[in-house]
Amino acid sequence: MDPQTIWIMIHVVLLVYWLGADISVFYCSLQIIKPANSRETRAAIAKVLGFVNAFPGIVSILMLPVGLMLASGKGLSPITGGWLALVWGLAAIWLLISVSAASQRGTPLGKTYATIDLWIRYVLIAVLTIAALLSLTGGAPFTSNWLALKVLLFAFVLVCGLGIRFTFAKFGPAFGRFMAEGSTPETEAGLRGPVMRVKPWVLALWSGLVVMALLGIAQPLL
Amino acid sequence: MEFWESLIVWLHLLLFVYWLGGDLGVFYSSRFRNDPQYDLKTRLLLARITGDIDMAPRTTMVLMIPIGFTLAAVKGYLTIPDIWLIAFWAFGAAWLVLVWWLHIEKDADKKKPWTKFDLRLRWVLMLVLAAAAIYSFFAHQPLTENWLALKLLLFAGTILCGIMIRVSVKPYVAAFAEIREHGSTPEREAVLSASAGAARQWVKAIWVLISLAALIGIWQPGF
Repeated sequence: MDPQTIWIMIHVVLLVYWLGADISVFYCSLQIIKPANSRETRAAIAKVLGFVNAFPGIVSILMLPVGLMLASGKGLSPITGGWLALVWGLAAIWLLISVSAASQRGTPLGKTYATIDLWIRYVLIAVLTIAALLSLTGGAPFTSNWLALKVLLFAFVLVCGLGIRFTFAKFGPAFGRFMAEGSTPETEAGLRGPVMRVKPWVLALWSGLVVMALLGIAQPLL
Repeated sequence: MEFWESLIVWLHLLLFVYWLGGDLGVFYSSRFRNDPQYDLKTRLLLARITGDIDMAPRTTMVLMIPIGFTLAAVKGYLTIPDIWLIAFWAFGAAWLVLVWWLHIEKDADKKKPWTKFDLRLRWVLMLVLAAAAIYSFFAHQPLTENWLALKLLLFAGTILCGIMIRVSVKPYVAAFAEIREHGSTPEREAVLSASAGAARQWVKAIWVLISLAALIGIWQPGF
């Protein structure tokens, strides 16, 4: 078997646990804001949400090194050999930071991890956008325009992820207040607001992912 | 690759994404439905959520037939005339309507004959597809490629797993109905968790089968 086959398979499975898992997250988020559902019920939904939502967080980080691995295997990326190993190392560190931020949420250490994770994303968005635009206009570092477009869309997807993070930040505290005070017009509004505001970002992220998938399959000459 | 060919590969990929990825939520949320620690109202609602999310894998499985065969035809791996694809699509559409109607309709009496029909349909489909796959290994028709015949056989395997899930949850459904009407007892919960445990093994088998099918589709080994 060509090692490239394995990497394509991993690439696809990552999409499965990103886009495919997201549907449960989305559906549960709509159920958690329903006033008809009791506190206990919503606490259970919150657990489902938390569990499933961990998957997109992890696989989205792995997508970048796996994608670059594939690109280098096809001879479409200048990042090969030792540089690729460096990318894997950095991705591993990023993953560790991101997972720690989630598992230590609410502690000062968790907050530090979350801030580092945020800055990694800012830098990455800038680097990927510049690399993609340079490739689209000058043919380097990525020689194929479809791949450059995927890189640009990945930056877009990262932006959507940040949009989700910022708009959804108020949900955690609002949920805590709801659990403490029960269902009041205020606590219900507090839950509803972030879920409604996060929707456009989620839909934009999904659009980015499905377009990226199509580009990867069709690999059109642009 | 022609653009519309890519488009079908893409749809095929998205079906896999929502089948395997959707199952993650189903698998995890079903734990709460089966947990006697939670009150009945919560369990009933979690059962509904589980059932709703389960429509993602259910829908994708039905659509896999028309889309899979269309892809095979587009690639020139299918020996039957293209006009038959209309039949695959009509069948897929009709079956999808049935699957969704069974999900939305609440009247159990009205559903009963159709649930039975759906189960029989799955048996027939599983046998027909498995036969077509095995026949293709020897005669290279209706599928010309062995790897594709293997994929079809794996798909027939997922239908069988789906049937086995339905068989193994029978005690579950009965116990859950008793719990709903007469309350939770350790005996009823024991039946529930044993039955759910059995069903879970078949769910995991589906994950293995469709992941293998995906790998073979990417690999396309000649053998």
